[in-house]
Amino acid sequence: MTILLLYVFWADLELTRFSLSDIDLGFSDDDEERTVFVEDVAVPSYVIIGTGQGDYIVKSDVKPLYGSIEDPGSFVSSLLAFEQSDELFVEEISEEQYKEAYTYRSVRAVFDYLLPLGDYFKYKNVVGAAGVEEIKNLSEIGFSAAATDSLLVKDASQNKYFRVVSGAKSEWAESFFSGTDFDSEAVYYPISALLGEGVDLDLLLPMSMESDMTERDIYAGRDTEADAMQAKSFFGNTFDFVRKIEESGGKVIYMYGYGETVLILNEDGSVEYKSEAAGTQSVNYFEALDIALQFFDSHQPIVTGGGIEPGVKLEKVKTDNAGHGKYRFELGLETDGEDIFFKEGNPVIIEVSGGVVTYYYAERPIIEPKQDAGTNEVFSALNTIAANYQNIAAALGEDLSMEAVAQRLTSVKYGYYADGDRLVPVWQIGVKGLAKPLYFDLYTSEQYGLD
Amino acid sequence: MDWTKAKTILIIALIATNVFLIYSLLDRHSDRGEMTNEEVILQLMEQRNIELEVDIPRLHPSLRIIQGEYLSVDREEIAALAQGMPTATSDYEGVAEDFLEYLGILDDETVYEETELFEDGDIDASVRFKNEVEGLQIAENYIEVYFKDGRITDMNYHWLDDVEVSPRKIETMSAAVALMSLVNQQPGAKMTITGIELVYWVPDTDMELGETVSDTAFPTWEITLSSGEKKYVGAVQI
Repeated sequence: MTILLLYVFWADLELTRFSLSDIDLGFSDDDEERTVFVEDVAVPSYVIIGTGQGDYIVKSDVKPLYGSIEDPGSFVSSLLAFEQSDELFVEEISEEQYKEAYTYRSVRAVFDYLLPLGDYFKYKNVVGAAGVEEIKNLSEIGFSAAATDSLLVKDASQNKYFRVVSGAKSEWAESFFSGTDFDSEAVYYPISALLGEGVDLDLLLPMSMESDMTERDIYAGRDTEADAMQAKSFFGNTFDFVRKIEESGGKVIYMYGYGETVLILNEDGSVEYKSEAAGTQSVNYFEALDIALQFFDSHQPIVTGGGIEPGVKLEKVKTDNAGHGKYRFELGLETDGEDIFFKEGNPVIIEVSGGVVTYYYAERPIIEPKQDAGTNEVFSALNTIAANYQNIAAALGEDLSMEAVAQRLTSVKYGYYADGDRLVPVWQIGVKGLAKPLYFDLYTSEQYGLD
Repeated sequence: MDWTKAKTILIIALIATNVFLIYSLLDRHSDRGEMTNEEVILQLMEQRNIELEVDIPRLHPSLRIIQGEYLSVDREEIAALAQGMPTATSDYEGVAEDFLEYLGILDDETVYEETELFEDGDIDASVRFKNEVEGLQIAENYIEVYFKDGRITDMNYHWLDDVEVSPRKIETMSAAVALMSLVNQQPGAKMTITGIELVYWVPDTDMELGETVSDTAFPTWEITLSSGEKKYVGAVQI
């Protein structure tokens, strides 16, 4: 009888009671289950190597050079080690001095997104040099062969330049400058040097280049048969009590409570998650990024069939430090070291408020593995601009000369463009005055994404 | 070892445990505290000019959540089948049920509600069915079959079909708490309440939705005002 009573007692409790704390957001304290860490995504947007002859090598596949913080011989470790060496001092220098230093053999990591140096030191438990607090955000950091006892830093948020001086030369920099073959790769020149009068931009373009990129198939990261499993990863134990709305087009909406938490699985495979339950924890930039990446890792696409999942890297960060701090991290995708561009912007957006993820949008496609098809000469960036400057002017709604169009360029990169169910190798060209970049075939200069 | 003494102690301990468990279960299921709350709420409602013309239900069992697909019947199929149906003289309900059975809609959840007769109109009669799942009506769900000169002319519906129930039950709030919640949503409003019952209801949402093919209905208190207007207060305690 006692056993029967105990059964009724517990069954009665279990059947009906659950609470908000039952929500399992899929976080795990076990790092072994994680695949993406802060160090994997907070990497330079690209690395510029100066040959000392007025031309440059630009590496968008930064990881082989930038390396890992775990590797004491890497570029990133040398930067961190330098910051911790004795007898350091920080002094502000002029833009001219900064640019002059980079006319020598040089190497610099460029961060196109907001990266607060103070928060990084806190995250890594590093005590910075005296005066380092003057550097708010890291836009560029690197060495010049002119003085390897100095680290050169650009803070674009303050439009300031700094020199961090040590009593000793950087062994990594000395070794890099003496051991690198500066003639082995495609060389880039400032567009001002290529076009001469009328263009005074420092934007770097490769003169000529070969590439092994080819068109590849791409699959939406959603298997409708696995929708429930995917949704359960967001709602955990409360999934049985979540409202599910299916639309005729294939979109499925999951809603917890009366809309406090909403998950949308779109027809195109993208996922959108919104939660009104902001946290109250004060977190800094890197703690918030870690929370965002844990969330990203916990909600991997569930797909059937072969293919590889692209890697991620930070593209854009916005912060609002009022209250408990809000962070918006935009991540880009990459495969085999090449960026993947999406027409509507960065494919992964994660917002963290008070230590909790309040918004998540992700296009996480699966990609056909790269085929070995040898290398081909690309349609050069300069010729692509020359062939399309009238199209670019038309997009701006103006009648402009090629030089006037070139003067408006903000970025020229190559990578893959997600064009429906295929990835095509492209030039991505950013233009001042246009909200979104333009895309041109890497081998033919044909324009994409016009619809 | 004194086994007799040990057995006696063990038996007493088990009896004491049983008494405790029985008391705990009875205490959990009694509504003593709730009645106290209910009385307080009724007093509050009186102070706020809320008139009750109905007894407040005292039971609010734990219930399941339901998921269904919206019924969609091809209009041509309705028209074709209607032509083949026999003419009803007085048994509109029977003919309408046969009609639904031929359409594959009639099941245990399709419950006859009423037949309304009309004079000098486009229709002579309308037979209305309600949707009941797990013993509760799904609010705002109906099928209406229309007759003219004894023949079926058309059918209208808003109906959650192929309903599946959640594996787990969930606690519901009491009617008194739901009433208070409604009153608090409209402070100062004068209301006369003529009905209150537990139903299933698909909540309204501010989200912009496309054509919905399937949705979830939750246990909800349906509160009817003297004007005939129905208000819905979610009964799920999350």
